[in-house]
Amino acid sequence: MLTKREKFLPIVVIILTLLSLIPLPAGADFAQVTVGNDISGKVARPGDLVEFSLTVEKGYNTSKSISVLLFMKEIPDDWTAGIYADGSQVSHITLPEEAGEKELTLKVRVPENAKDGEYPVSIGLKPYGEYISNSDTIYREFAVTVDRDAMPNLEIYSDIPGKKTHPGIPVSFGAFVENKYESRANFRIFLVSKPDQWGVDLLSTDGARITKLGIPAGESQEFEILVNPPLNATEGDYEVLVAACPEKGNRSVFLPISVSINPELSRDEDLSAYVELNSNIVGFEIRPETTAEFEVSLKNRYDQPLKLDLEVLSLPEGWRAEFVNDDDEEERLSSLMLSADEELDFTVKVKPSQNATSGLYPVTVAAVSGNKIVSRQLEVSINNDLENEELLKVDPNPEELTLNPGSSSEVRISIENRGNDALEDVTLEINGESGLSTQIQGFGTTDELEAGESRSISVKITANANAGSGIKEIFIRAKSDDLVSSERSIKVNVEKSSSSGLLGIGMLALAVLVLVFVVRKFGRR
Amino acid sequence: MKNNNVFVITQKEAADHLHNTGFLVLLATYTAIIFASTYMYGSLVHQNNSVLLSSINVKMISLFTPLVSIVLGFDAVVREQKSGSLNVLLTHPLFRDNVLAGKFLGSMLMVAAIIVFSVFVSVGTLLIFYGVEVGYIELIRIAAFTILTFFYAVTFLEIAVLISTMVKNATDSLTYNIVIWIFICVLFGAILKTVVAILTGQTATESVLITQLLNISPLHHYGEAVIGRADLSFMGVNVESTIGGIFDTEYTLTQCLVEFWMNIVVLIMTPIILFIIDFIIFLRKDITL
Repeated sequence: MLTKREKFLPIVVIILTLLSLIPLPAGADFAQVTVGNDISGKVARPGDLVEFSLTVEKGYNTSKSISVLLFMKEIPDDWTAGIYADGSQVSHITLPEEAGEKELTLKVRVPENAKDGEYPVSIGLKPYGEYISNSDTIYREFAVTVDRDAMPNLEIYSDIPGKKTHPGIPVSFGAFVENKYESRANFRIFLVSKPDQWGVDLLSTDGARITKLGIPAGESQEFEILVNPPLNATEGDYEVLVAACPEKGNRSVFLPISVSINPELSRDEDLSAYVELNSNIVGFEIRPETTAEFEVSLKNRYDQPLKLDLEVLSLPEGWRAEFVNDDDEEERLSSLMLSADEELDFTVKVKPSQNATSGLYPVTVAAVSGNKIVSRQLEVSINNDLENEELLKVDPNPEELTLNPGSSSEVRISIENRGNDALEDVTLEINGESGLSTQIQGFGTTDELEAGESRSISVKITANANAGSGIKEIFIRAKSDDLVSSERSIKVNVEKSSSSGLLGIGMLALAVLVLVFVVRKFGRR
Repeated sequence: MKNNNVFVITQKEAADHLHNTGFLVLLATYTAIIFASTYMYGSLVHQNNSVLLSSINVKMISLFTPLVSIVLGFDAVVREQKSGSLNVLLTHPLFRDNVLAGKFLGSMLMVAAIIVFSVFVSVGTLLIFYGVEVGYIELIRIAAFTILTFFYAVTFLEIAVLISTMVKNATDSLTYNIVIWIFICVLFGAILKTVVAILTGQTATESVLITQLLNISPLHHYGEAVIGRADLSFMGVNVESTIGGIFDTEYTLTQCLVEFWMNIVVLIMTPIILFIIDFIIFLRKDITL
C-alpha cells in the first residue's frame, strides 16, 4: 500500500518537469539606437576647424520612428562645437520608419590661443519618443590634440617658381592653393614681400585681381602671380613672397618665387658688323587699343647675300608684334634674302594688350642668321590718359543750319576710321533735343570700316511744328565696340517765320470780320 | 419779288440762329474742337508733307461738322409747322418754295460762317503760335478744304431739313438725325465690313464690293477728296489712294481735281438732289396742325 507521499511524488515530479520546460520571458533589453564613428581623435592647429563624422543607427529589430536628442556633454573652455546634419546645426534628429541611419558631423573650432595638449570633447545622444521604453543616454568621446607645429591643412605651390626676364617685361607664374580640409574652405592669398618699385598682381585665371579663393575639400585652385620688374631693374635674382592662410586662421603658408633679371640679351650680336637694323623712331606713346607702327630698315653691308630671319626677342605678355611688308600690308614677313648692300624697309606693328596698364614697355626685334643676331629695342609707352577719340572721327556737314518749325534739312555726316585696324559694326549715335527729330537715311551701322576709310551717312533733321525758337544742339558720335569717337554737335537755329505770324493775325482778323459782317447783315430781326 | 421774299426769309432764319444762345455755344464749341485737335496734331512730327496741312485733323472735323448742320436744320420746318407760324406765313403772298429755299439758304449761310470762322481762327492761331512757314500753295488748299467742308456740312444740313419736313415733331427729327449721323460718321465702315464679311465671306478691307458700297457715304467722298482716305469712320475701311487728297502737296491741285473730281461732284450734287426731294415733299405736305 502506497503512502500518500508516494502517491503524490510522481505527480510533483511531472509538474516540476513540465514547469521546467516552460520558456521564461526574455529579460534583456536591446538598445534603441547605436552610434558609430571611425575616428575619435585628431591633431589640429590653433584656429583650425576639426570635424568628426559619426553615424546614428536604429538598434536591432527596431522599425518604428525614433527621435534622438543631441547635446554637448563636455567641451574645453572657450572652445566652440556643434553637431551638424546635412550642413545645418541640429539639436534633435528623427530617424523615420523607413530610414535606418543618419550621418552626423561634430565640428569643433580650436581657439587661436589654445595651448598644445590633448583636449577631450564628448557628446550625448538620448533617444525619445512614444515607442521608446529604454531611454538610456549614449555618450561618445572625442579627443583633439592641439599641436602648433602640425602641418597646416593647406598648401601653396607653383610648378615653375623661378623664371628669367628682362627689365620692364612682365613675367607670370602659375600657382595653386590646395585645400586639405575635409570641407570647403576660403583662403586668403596675399603678397608678403617684393623688391622696391616692382609690380606684383595676384590674378584669377580670367585676369581679375583676387584676394581670396574658395576651394572645395581636397581640391586645388589655380591662380596667377604677375610680376612686373621696372625698366631700371639691375641684373640679379629677386624674390617675391606670396602667402596663403585660412580665412579665419592666422597661420600662413608661404610661396617664394624667384625672378632673375638679365638686362642683356643672351644671343651673340656680332651680326651687327654685317647687317644694320635701324629705326628712326624708336618710341611711341599710345593708348592700349592702338597699334604702334615702327618704320624699320634692314641693310646688308656684307659683300654676299644673306638670309635673315625676323624675330621678336622680347614682348610683354598678351602683346602682338608683326613684320609687315610696306608694299602690301596683307603680307607678313618672316625671313628675307638680302643681296649685297641691299636695303629693305618694312614696318613693325606692335599691338599692345587691351588691358595694358600705363608704363613703358620695351619690345626687342632682331634679324637672325644662324646663331648670329642683330637686334633693336623699340619702346612703347602706354598712356591710358591719351585721347582716343580721334581714331574714329565724325564730321557733320554743315555744322550749323537754320530751320523753320515744321521744315527739315539734310546733313551729311562723315565717319572716318583714322586708326590702323579695320573697325566692325561702326554705329552712328545721335542724341537729339526736344523739338527736333532726326532720321538716319539708310543704314546707321556700317558693317566694316577699313583703316583710313570714311563713310558718309545722311541724316534728316526736322524741326517739329511746336519747336521753340532758339539754337538747339544735336550731338553725334560714332561707336565701334569699345572705341568711341569724340562728340560733335550740329547747331540748329529754329526761327519762327514772322511773315506767317502776321498772316495768322490777318486770318484771325478776317474770321472776326466775317462774323461781324454776318451779324450786322443778317442779325436784325 | 420772289427773290426778295426768299432773301427776307433767309435773313429771318439767319437772325433767328444768331440770336439763339445755342448757336453761339455751338460756334464756340466747334471752334474749340477744331482748334484743339489742330493744335495737338500740329505738334506731331510730319515727315513728308506741309506741317500746316498735316496739322488739320480732318477725321475730327468730319465727325463734328455734321452735328453743326443737324443742330441748325433739324427743326427748320417742323418748328414752324408746330407753332402755326407756317400757316400764317403762307397767308401772305408767298410760295412754299420761297419758304423752304429761304430757310435752307439761311441755315447754309450760318454753316458757311461757322466753318470759315473756325478754320480761319484755327489756322491763324496755329501760324501765330508755331510760326511755321506757309506758302500760297497751302493757303489755296486750305481754301479748297473749307469749300469741300462746307459742301459736306450742307449735305447733312439738307438731310436734317428733309427729315424736319417729313416728321411730326422736332424730337423725332433730332432722333432720326442723330441716328443717321452715328450710322454715317461713326459706324458705317465697320457695319459695311461686317455685312460684306457675313454675306460674301470676304474679310479683306480692300475688296471691290466694299469700296463700291462706300460710295453711298458722303463721308467717303469727303475723306477721299481731302486726304485720300476711303473711310474716316471708326474701325472702318483702311484704304488710301495714291494721292493723299488735296492736302498732298506732292501733286498739283489740278492733278488732285482730276483724280478726285467724282468725289467733288458727288459732294456738290448730293445737297442739290436732297433739296429737290425736300422741295417735292414739302409741296405735297399737309401743313395743318
